[in-house]
Amino acid sequence: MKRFFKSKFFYIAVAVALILVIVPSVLSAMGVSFFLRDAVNVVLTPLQKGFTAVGEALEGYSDYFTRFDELVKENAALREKVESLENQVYHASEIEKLYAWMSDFLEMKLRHNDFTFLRATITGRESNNYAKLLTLDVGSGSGVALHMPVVTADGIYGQVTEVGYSWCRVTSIADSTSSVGAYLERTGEEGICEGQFDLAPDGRCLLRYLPADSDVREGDRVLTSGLGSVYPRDLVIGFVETVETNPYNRGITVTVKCSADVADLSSVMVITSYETTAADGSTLTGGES
Amino acid sequence: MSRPRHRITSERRHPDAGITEREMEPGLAPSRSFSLHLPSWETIAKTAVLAFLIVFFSLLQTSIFARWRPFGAVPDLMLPLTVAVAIRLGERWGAVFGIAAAFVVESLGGGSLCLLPLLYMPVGYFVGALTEEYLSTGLPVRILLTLGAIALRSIFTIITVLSTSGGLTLGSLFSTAVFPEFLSTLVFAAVPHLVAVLCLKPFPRK
Repeated sequence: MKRFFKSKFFYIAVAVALILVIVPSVLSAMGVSFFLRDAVNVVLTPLQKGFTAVGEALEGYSDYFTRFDELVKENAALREKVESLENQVYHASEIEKLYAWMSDFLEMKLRHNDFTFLRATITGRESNNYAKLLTLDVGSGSGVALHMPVVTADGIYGQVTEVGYSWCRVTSIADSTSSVGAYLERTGEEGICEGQFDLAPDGRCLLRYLPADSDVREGDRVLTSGLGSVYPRDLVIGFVETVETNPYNRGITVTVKCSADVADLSSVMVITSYETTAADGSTLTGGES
Repeated sequence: MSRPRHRITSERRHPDAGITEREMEPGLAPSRSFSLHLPSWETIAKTAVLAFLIVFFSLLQTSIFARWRPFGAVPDLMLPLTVAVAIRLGERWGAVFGIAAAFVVESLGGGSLCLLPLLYMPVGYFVGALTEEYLSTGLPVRILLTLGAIALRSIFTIITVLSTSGGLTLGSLFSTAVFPEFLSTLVFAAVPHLVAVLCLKPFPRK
């Protein structure tokens, strides 16, 4: 072993090593670059760039092996995130629809600020051919009671005729069992809108008991009169579609096209309480029971 | 252990450095006179292969592995390479290779403190000397010497980190630098060994 340390070569090597340690370190501390280091870098940096490029290219492949679990987890997390974002988009579109729907109701609410609305989703429609019914997802548990009026943004649809705890059934004003106190907005003449079996499928009803000399015209708007304590006054029923005079009794037969069309709707509003003034100045209240 | 003496009356050309060695008659004190010759083609080829190994592994270490960082640390490929070269070519080649390898790798990816030549040179020198004099060059010895060199590297890392970075706890030093580097170098040590053995196959140890 002594030979190793007695060797001249060993000491020369140590000296060279020391020089290559001390000189670059001192020069580097002084902020000066050692020319040999410069030379090495000048020659090898382009090659190093090439190696780095190769390394970057290989990284994707190596990730497959080295970060497989991590990538699987990341993939699962991203899938979850995508699902969450899809849900958010879905909810956003739902909210957008709701907003549009609510803004339609806003006008009604502004005109009838005494109304208390309860939003209800239509969960079912009539299952037979002889009734105009809706099933809603609100019931007595939400404060819904019998005979509460149900409206859309366009006008009145009908009234609650059956109530469960979490559901209720609504009968349209066009149903043959319905009748609503009405008046012509233009003339103020009062009558009663009655559902007819043959007219109900088209969402139409008859306006009866108008005065014989009524000035009713096609296109006149028909509103609720508030009589009967079911519907508040001044809600839109629809528009006069046809006016016919009965040649036998000189009476007038007026067909009204109901405004509320629920064919494309998924939600309606239940008016749970209201207080309006009748034509004679008396106060009408309804809804809450 | 004394070096074996041979009775050589003729001139003998040193196989590695291009140095002619002439020994005196037996019974006289050995005396050497050196004269420089042009290096042989074998020496030139050997140098070229070693230069290639240095460049290749230093670039590999400072670009691909520095980016990949297996086990959280860049493996020191040049150290096992130095060990492999020293085992194959002996102490002198080992020491020179160690200095050159350390310098190049420090130049390409080192900091301001360049201490690696002080590690690689003795490793190359003593590994070459030990395998020349005492040890075989079989696989167990190769593994043992590589492990020893990597352990030395760890000590070196501790010294370097402590001298350049303040406020470190031993725990964080070992968990963030020493152990990952040890593991990473150990795992990838076989690569430079294999490449060195293959590249230096035409140059048998004399």
